[in-house]
Amino acid sequence: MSLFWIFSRQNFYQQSAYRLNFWLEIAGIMLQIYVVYKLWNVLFEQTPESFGGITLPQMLTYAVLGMLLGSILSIGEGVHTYIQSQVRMGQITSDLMKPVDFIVHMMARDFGQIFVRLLFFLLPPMVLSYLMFDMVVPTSPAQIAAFVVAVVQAWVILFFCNFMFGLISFKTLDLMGFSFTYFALVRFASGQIVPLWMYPDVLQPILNFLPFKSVFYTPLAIYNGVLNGSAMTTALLVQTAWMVGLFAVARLVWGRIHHSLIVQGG
Amino acid sequence: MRDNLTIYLTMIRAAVLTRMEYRADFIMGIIGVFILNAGTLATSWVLLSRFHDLHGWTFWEIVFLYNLWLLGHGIRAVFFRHINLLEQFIVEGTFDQILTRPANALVQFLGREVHYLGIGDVLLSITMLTLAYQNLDLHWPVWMFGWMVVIALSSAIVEAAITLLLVSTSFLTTRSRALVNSASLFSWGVVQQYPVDMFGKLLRNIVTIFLPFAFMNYYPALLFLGKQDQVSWGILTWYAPVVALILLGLSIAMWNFGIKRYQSTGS
Amino acid sequence: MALIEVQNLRKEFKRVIPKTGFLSGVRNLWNSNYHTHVAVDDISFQVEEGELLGYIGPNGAGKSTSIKMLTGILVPTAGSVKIAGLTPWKNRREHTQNIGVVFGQKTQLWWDIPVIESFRVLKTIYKIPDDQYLRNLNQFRDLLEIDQFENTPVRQLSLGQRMRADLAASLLHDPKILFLDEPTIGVDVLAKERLRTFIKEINRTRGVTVLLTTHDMQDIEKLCNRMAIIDDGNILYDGSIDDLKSKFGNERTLVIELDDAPYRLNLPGTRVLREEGPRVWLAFNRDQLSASDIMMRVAEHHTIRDLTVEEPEIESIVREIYEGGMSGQKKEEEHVPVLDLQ
Repeated sequence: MSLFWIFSRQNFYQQSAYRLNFWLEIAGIMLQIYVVYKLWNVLFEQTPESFGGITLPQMLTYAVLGMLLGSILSIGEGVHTYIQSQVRMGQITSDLMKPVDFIVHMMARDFGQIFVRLLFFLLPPMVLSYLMFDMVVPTSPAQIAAFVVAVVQAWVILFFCNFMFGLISFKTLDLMGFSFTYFALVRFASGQIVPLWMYPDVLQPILNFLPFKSVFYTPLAIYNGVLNGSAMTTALLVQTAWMVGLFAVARLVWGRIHHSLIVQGG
Repeated sequence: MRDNLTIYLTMIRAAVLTRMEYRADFIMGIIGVFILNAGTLATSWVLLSRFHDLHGWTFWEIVFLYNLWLLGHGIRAVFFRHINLLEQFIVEGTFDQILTRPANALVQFLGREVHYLGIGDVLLSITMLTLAYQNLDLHWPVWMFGWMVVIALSSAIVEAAITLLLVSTSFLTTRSRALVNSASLFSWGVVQQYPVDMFGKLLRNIVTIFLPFAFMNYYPALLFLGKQDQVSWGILTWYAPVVALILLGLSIAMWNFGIKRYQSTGS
Repeated sequence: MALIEVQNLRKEFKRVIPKTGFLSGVRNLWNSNYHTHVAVDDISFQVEEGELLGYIGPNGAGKSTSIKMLTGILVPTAGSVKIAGLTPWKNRREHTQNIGVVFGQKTQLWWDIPVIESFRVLKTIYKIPDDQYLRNLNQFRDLLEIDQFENTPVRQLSLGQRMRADLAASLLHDPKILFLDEPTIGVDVLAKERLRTFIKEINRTRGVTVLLTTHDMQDIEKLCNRMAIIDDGNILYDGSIDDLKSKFGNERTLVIELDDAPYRLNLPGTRVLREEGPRVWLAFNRDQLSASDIMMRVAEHHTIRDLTVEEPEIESIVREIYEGGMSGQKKEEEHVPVLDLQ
């Protein structure tokens, strides 16, 4: 556990060292929030009936929080980019020689980053958004608790997806094509920008089959109240199932790669 | 002028030879660019298949808007992608080398690299613009195709010049990346896929006056899509090349000012 | 008029004093504290045509800042430089036609393309006529044997080969002056020898004036007829190497091997530098004492088995100058005979 704390503290100092970057990034996030705010306002004015019974504040809450979660659980940077750069620089062996389990080590590192980003880049813009826009607040304690659980589980799921994606770099260093594909897939299939219930019916089975739905759609839909009651419980259980399943697969794949690394002598 | 062109072309030849050394990346990069843009377009498609139009822009009009941006962006990405790397050029001492040679510093900097990823953007955007042209059942007079070429080039210049203008702050602070990243959000986060008329006055003014990325696609598209009479600022559809030239002048001035400051305060 | 005339050259930098802590850091966004760092304080020297001047000094002494001003990269805070009648930073583009520059740390060539392709680009940039280009290329093929690797990309060359290619590249346009910043850094002994031979050769045959900075005193001893020592932004010594030796090198070391076990010799006028088994290193000033005096006095009490007198290495003289300035005062601390200026 202390490892999680160490990485968080280290990231805190790094983040507070570059102040100009902080302000510029906050400004950038606010701009993106304004863009989605405007987008949904325009669409709602045009055809409120196409929203399927969702109110505008509910939709805005989903969109704004989706933008924010997207900038915290960033797909562009994370454990996969870390593994890539370590492999490329030939420094991955130093990570492997540390007396901590590699997956735990990577998780702690990722946690530190995301926790600090949460403090710096989620909370302030969220407060600002609530001040400026008409958005909903989760009311029941159960809903709030479910949301927190959903966010944590979403992080773990995305972590294992990123982790396994990063492992490709042990096979090939030319990851650009893969990265673009992965990036596009997660953005499209996670419901971060457009809620998944708006997707055409043909796509629904595919979306349900992928873990990315659990990453953004589930916590966001719990927060704005679209998912509730038994549907919410099911969604949380699906998340847990993904989490356990991905963890098992990640262990297995990593075990094999680690083994072959040792045989080859690093 | 002629000397500069000869030097630029010779350097571009060397830059192409450099890229040829990494031919294997080429195909993967092009495929990656296709998928990445397809992902963004797919989101627009989901949205517009449900809502029919966005502030009066149909799916294929949005496709046109997006790909007009991508065409200019792609051209700039082929030749001027490394403008963003000025900071690195300065820190690594490559820029000092440029100053020890008798040619114009900007020509030497711009001729230093070419990039193939932009080729994917250009190919994809031409394909999608053609599809949009057919699906929207457009019938342009011949001169408009010529105007299209002018617009594509001026889009590339608009993006390159704004970036050069901002990145020249590297000469003063050697920390310009965050500034450039935030500013470019107005490009790929705003004008790229949304018609600017759906936003409020403040944001419209920013992307028209301060960071005029809207001249890359929105304003020119008004003419191509026959929308210039639907908005009060329709006249601006003709001004993209003028804006490009003004920005070019400003960015070169900023570049020269930056070098002067660098020479007297740099280390 | 000398080819290079440097007068009262000075360069200051402003550096932001970083503040720590989050809130004080936020304040930093609109008000910052600066302090002025003097990289080059006050430097004056002249170089005649055809000279080979070595420019040495520890890291941060102001060497590369002065080179950057002489090559036109930086503008000084005060002072003047005239090189072949031009002020580098005012007539930068004309000036660069007169000079060739090699930075040992970083190649001037295009990393991924064959050497010869880089030469072609330089030919265009410097507007070198065909006949001059071919003549020079052929000469470098002979002298530097670049034909062995001219079709290889730079990234695949050894460091020695890369330096040879860089030297050739810097001379293609027949510059009057060559600036070499650490030209032998990291290169193996044989390749170093070869580079030195070549630099001497082009200095002799083409009359190219060379100004080189280095950390390797052998470069200076083997190449230069004159050296300038710079530290803290000032020139501490400017003259020939022989002069330096006779002026500052009056300390000798006597190495005596005795018959009996370690014994602390306490002789007036000498200093024990080191003791190792039966051997003792004694430093003395040859103006005050002679080796035979010391020998006789030691022999009164001990049996001398072996004995040598060591002349000071140029390196230790230079180090003493860094430490004590021009006064040549020595600090009463342990003396390390060989030193790595790096």
